[in-house]
Amino acid sequence: MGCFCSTSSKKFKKLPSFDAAELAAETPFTVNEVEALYELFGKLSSSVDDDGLIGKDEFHLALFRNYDKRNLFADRIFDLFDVNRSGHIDFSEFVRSLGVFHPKAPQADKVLYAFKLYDLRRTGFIEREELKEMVLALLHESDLELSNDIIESMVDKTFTEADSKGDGRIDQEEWREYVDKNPSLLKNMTLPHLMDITLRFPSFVMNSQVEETYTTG
Amino acid sequence: MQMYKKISKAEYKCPHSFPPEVRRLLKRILDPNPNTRISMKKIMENSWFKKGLNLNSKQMKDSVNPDFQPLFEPKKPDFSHASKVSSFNAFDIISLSTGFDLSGLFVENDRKEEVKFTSAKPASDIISKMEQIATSLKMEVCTKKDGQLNLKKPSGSQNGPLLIDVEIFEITSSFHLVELKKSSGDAFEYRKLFNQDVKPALQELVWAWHGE
Repeated sequence: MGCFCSTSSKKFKKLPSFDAAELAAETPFTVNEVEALYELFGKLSSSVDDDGLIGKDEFHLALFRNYDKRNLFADRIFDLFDVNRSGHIDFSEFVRSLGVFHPKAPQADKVLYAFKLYDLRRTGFIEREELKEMVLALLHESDLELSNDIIESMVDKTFTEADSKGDGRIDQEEWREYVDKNPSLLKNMTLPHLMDITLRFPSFVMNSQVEETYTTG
Repeated sequence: MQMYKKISKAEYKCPHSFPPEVRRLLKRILDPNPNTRISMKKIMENSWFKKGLNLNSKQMKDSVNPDFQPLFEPKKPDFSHASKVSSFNAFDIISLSTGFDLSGLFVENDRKEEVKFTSAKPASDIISKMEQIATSLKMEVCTKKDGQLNLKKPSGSQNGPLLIDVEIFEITSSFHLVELKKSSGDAFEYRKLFNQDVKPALQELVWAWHGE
């Protein structure tokens, strides 16, 4: 393969060591893929400050190429990635969360993740107001303005379909049934890019736990 | 039996609350003699009958018209079927957000292979424009099903022909979301084609590009 010179070959200062085998065992990734994610993580976590963690601004920067835009949905994803609510995403959180988006991850994991994403206030239910808030956020993001009547009727219609128990909120069971009938709702929960991650981020981690031959520059 | 006798003799009593014009009308309606009995036309001309009648209602207008125009206007030809598109529920709309599009973690924005834009044009316009673009770029157009198009460009590259999927979703009757993505073929060729030819040609349809 030869020597591949790229910015990703610089040493990342503060990245802690990680147990690739453990992460590989608990996610759909192989050890090689975990190592490739390490490269990606290094790049993302050092874009603003080189602290070995992905902060909210670095996350936004990666998604939007700027951190001016406030985005409700990116914030939700960040919050879900940041399992221990530390305000930063560490490598283990990064790998485990991305694991849910892997094409081979179990469907049930994806369904639950999407539910938690939409449960804005983390009440364990998706309330009607939360749904409306998200629709408004999306319209705002796309510079679309629809009349309140149209938005209300759209939210009503969706909510009626999903809230089968009719108690004004969607619980996990109702969500599972709803997604069963509308599988396209989980489209965002799968990232095909994760299948060829080792090609995008060839790993030159010195302590690779898998035997490979590289020529290191 | 008693009842029939009373009917044939027009023996009946009106409740006291009935106003005089109602009693008069009823008397003419309940006339046992069909030759002297009031006609439908005359009933409709009766002043009491017309009071409170909502003549603005289309159905009433037609039924009041003695020329017996059809109650409903003939159905306008249904063009929507030609470009019937999937319609969205609120969760579908939400999932359009670029905030959910984590591919930005992996690829540069201008290298993305899937783009979305919203359009204020009707679906039929969007489809014609896409077909026009395809023809000018010597691409073959196949319509998979309502609201979906596949564009194919034979290619000399080893990746095979370039295939682009176009899908149109209805957000409301005046707003549509269009999704364009490469389903197969050389990535570089796709980007070049998209940035140089497709994107500028689509500009007149575009309300906003997602992610920009």
